[in-house]
Amino acid sequence: MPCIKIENLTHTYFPGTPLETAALQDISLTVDQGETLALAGATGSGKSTLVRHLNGLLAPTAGRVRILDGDVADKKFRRQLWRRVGLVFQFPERQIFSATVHEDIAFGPRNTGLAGQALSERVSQAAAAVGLPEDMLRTDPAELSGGMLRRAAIAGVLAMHPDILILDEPGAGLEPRARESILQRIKELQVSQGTTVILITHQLDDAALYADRLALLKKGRLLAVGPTAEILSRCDLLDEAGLEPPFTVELTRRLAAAGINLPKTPLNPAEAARLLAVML
Amino acid sequence: MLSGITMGQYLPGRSPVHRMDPRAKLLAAALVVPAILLAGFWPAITAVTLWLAVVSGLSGLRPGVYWRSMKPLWVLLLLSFTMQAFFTPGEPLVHLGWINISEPGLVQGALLLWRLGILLVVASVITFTTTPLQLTNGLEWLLSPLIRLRVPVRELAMIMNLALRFVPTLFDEARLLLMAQQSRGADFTHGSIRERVRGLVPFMVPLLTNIFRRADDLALAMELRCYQVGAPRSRLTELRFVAGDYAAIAATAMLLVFVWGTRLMW
Amino acid sequence: MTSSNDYLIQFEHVFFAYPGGGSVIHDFSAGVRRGEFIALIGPNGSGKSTLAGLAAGALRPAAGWVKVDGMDTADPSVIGAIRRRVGLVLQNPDNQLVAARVEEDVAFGPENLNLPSPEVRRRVEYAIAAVGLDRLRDRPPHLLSGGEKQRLAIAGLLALEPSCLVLDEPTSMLDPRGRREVLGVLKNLVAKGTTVLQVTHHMGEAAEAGRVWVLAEGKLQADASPGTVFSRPELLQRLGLALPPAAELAGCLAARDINVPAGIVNLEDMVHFLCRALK
Repeated sequence: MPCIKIENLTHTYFPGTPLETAALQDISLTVDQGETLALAGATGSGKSTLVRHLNGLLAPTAGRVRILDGDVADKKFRRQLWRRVGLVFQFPERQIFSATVHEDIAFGPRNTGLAGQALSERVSQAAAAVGLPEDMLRTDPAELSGGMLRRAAIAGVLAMHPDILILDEPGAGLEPRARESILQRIKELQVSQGTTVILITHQLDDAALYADRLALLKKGRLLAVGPTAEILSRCDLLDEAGLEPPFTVELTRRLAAAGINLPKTPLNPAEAARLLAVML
Repeated sequence: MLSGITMGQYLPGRSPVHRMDPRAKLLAAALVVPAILLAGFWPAITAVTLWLAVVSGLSGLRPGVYWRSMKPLWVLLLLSFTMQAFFTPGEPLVHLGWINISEPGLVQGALLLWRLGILLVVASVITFTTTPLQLTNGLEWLLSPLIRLRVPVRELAMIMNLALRFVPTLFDEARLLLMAQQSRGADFTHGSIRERVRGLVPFMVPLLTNIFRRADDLALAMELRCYQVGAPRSRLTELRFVAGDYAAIAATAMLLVFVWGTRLMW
Repeated sequence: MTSSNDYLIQFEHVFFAYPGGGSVIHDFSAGVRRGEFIALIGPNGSGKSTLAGLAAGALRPAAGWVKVDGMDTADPSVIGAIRRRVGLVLQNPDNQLVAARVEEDVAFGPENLNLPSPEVRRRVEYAIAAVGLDRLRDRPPHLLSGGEKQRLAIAGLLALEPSCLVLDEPTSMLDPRGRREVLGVLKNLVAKGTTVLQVTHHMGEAAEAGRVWVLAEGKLQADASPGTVFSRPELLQRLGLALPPAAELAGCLAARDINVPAGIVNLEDMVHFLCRALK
């Protein structure tokens, strides 16, 4: 069942001025309830502009965006959309402002009207969901490591219990283990709560591991959308989008050029080893 | 949004005015401002207006550009005119209830309107044709005699330069923060003043924190690139006066002398 | 002990702690030879950034010493000379750029040295060409991409004509394309004789270096070629570090009893090996 329906969405910045730029052009895309969609594209491809239509920050210049049971053209619906669609910005720890981690996570749910015991429970739940230890909730955010700070910032959005969760490069700038752990937690959330997840990334290895479907954007246009494995095995599309194929996809391409054809394109080293072991 | 900020914007070009030494432009401006303020009679007004017509013509920018840059200040201009016209004492020309409009009032008002308009166009010519960095360099040179009086002119110029560099970055940062906190339900536009001020905390605190963090990094980066407060610095391109610059200054100086002369003769 | 002439940067029993915090660098000894390309990896909080600061003389050791070209970084009288030999690139490119135009920004360093204008111009041309920003020289920095900004930050230091560049996670805020651009610039510089010490948490990048330092809890855990370091998955796993994908694949193949030669850490080596084995 689709929970997001984007039809011919166009967005133009500064219309009617010399600075006019078409950020999105004629995008049509649906996102199903409970799936993880990865949105990939080079810097400036319009990924951020696109998702800002999904939580009410931007209104379409043309086209229609339907989310859950409403239309974002409706100003009243758009104003309230942040309660149901959580958007985690890139480097979200830069938005932390409270004296304790608890206070910061509580900011969003408090704005939805939650208070007291119910609020505290929400905060604890959200912290647990991202793997932030309970005792860290009382500390000053300035004392946390980069990875923990990122978790706290993500928990601040999770605590609003969004139906749709959008994350802009949640692993950017983190060491490999922290990055993996955060993405794993989000995957678990998607599976256990049925949350719809949109993952913005230019790291296609992440998309390969966590996304059901992959959409490629290029200069404000939708280049392709489909099952992750299918899109990732199309090196021509990835090249056109200005993205770097995952290691195993690039390896498959290089082997094919040398006359060695794998039965299918593996998406991670373990799968590649399985396919290669048969041939060796 | 940000698209409204067109006053003070540099408009790239290769016109004679664009290519003038920024110091010469600032000197010429320093000479023409007293001329504008002293001009009170027809020959002087005509001379100054002609001077400006030539300069703005040489700038290679269409008159419409200057016209648009003045638009946001229309109300101010009109207000000044009306105040002068209404409140200058003299033989009343028109009666509007308790308001008297006198002939000297109209003349004074028109003169004020003309002066403000001309000053605005002069300012526009300079900002449209000079990059912010050139402007800073020019100002630094003009103020350099003050170094003897222990005014930190070089440092002030560096601060101005850094401010120009970081304004767009901070605008971007502020816009992003605003959106991020709105996504968590922050409301900066509703409620009592108290609530609104409280509502600014989630926005102002991280903004200031991030600015300080940037400033820390920047200070380190500058030090690593051998910047030392108070030490003399050379320049990538030395400013150099050419014949055109001298001619422009001389012409403007003559204009000032002429305007002064008309004033003394009357 | 090797003669100090072999080493451009030398750490000898270095200790370091931030005020109010515990020890960050703990008895660290190692040396960077002229012309080397070293990748410094380690988990968050291992002291990588601190070590980068120490190498460039931005921080002074609490005990022990760091010497650049034989000059002690704790000696205030030589700090200027050290700055001209070792350039430090920071993580966030936005915060290192000082001017409103590319060219003016590169000129900042030489201008600070009060060099004559023609010499400033020469150095700007050299540095802009070295990072491939010739065509963007008139742009304001905020209109550059992340990769371009970081290349500009590198150019700003190259204009001081240093013997060595130290980079503190220069690619962590960049997209893959920006990362590739920066890595390309670094490899080029190494080929032309510049010494490079790069802090990174991207293992694919570390695999491209000549030597890898593994740092944990302020101590040097390993100092060897990428091939050697990445064939020790136990150490990296214990420290929470990943393997470069090629090394991971080699490990998976070895687990299936396939004989993989040691030291395969990048795509080229892996393709080479598989082509030979499968034909």
